[in-house]
Amino acid sequence: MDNPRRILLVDDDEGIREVARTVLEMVGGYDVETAASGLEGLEKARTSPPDAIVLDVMMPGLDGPATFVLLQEQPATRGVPVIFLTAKTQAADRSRFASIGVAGMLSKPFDPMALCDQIAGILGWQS
Amino acid sequence: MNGGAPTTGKVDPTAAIRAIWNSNRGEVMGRVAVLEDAVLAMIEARLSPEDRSAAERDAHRLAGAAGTFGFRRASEAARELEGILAGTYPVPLDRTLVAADEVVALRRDLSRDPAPATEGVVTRPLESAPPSAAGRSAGVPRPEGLPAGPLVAIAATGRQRREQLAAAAIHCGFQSLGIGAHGWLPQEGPRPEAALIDLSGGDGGVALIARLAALDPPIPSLALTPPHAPCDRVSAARAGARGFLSIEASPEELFSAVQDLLTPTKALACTVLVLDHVTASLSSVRAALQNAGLRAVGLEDPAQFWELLEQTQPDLVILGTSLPGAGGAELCRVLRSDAQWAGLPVLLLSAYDDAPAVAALFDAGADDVVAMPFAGTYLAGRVLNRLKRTRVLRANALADRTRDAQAVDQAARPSGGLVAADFDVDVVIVEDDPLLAELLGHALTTRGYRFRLFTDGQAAAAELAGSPAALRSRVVLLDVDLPALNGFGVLRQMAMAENLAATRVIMLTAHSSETEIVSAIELGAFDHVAKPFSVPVLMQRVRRALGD
Repeated sequence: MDNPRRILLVDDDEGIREVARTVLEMVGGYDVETAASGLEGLEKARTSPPDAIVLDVMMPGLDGPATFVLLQEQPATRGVPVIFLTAKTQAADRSRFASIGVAGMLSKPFDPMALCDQIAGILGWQS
Repeated sequence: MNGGAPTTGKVDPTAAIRAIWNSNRGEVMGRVAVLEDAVLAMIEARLSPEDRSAAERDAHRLAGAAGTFGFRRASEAARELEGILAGTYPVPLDRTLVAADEVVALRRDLSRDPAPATEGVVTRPLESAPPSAAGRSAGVPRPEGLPAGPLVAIAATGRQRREQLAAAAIHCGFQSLGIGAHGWLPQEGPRPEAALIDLSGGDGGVALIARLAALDPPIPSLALTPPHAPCDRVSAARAGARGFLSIEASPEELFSAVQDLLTPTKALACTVLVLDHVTASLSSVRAALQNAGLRAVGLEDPAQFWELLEQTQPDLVILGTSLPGAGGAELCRVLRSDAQWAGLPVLLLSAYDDAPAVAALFDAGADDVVAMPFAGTYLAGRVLNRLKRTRVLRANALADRTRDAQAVDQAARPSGGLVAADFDVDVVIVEDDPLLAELLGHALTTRGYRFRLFTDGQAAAAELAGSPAALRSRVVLLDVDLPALNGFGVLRQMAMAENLAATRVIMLTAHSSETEIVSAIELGAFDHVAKPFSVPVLMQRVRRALGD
């Protein structure tokens, strides 16, 4: 694979961003861009659309679902699959997220070592 | 291979995660302090709504971060605190006391060294369970600092060849023991777990294989065969060689074959969940699995199945088929419809072994069916092979990561001849959520299927449940929560009109109970998929329903 897949990771928690970036780069071999807020994520996604976006649901300011809606409104980012990072307590919201068309959901806390497989599994990058 | 991966050999990801934890620890502990203040204010009944919201946000972030860094207890405590802070305000006394306990547990857990990532909530996939095994199966150089791998005896002619094999062994995470040109094993020292034996040196190799196989317990050997020179494979196999490999095979191929040899004993790390309400058969299945070195968790009550499934995160599930309530076949269908469990190997125990009965179980999504009564070793053998195969498939899937997802979609597109002229459309969508309907419509169109959309149950039933039906469709994607007439109602009308033989119905369920799902299947629904679903998974199910 000459061009590794590019993942944009949007989460307001710095620790989560760093861990996820580390394993996605080291274990999964992805190129990872991070953003600390929905707004920053939107801007980065628009300037250079990634292959997939991992989006935290609960963020101050623009939260995950709002960011998702805005991503869908941009022609450049409309087709990019989005994975929501959700807390277990938000189980009731999960069916709502699925119905707006997110590619998948990952529960927080996630096992860093399993993250790549889960993302690849959701996005169908594995056969 | 992990195509495109940056060099994975040098740095251990878990060590990197630990380093990140160390640099974030101060900030995390700052959040703990905020929570401690909030709980204190709670006890003294002076917690302001603003402080409560701030503390709730902190608890939420802590729950996610702590769990990810391996602090499971702290993550639970933070989640509990989040729930308390989000609940009734002012916080009642009993909840305040719980909060006080949890905040103590939170600080205590975060004060220890981070646990290895394996203690996370989600179990790692099989092939990466022991870190050294992951390196071996993917052919990745072994990260430093891992425990030494299994000892492999290497018998090869020529010093250079022996040194090459020894280097390959270390590269793949094994330890090696050179035993000279078809020499004897040393009397003392650690015992090898497997042997690689070069047959190009003449009869000595075959004799060594026989000697190793005669030991108690035997040491399994793989024979290395020269590519062109003649060698006696038949005698080697008769002597007990467990496999043959070309001497020109790559180190990764060689040692992944050795790993396979060792897998039955290494499979101890695998967990099998067994559900059968007949105590006698449950205990015989568990005994058979435990004799084979597997961890078996038994369960008699189907009601606890889902909870135990979450808790044990098994590598394989065995289900009895004559369970009360939802049978094994139904449970299997439900498992297959859940993205989290769709890849879990499922073996069904059947009281019948006639072809139609077994076919029905495979149709429900079973990977394997074993008719009762069975010999213990027979069942254990099938389970072990299934676990090994899953491991191989997962390793291959990792290797195939580079493959373009579009190519998969391309292959899945129906060929022109499949669209039967007898049908008006391929798929009918009955869904009242316009966003989801649009998404499904788009997914179907891009895959070349013709579809019609109905947004309420009554309109759908009017078209689909006549005899004959006004609109003939090969597959119906039927939402349950619909205006006018719900999905079960539509299904019932279609069943009464006897239209379910020609049209396959996939129920899209969100909050349905297991009983409802089972009764839908009994009414004649072909399949069901639980919301939230991933669109690719649903498309896979549509393809199956279309008979592609």
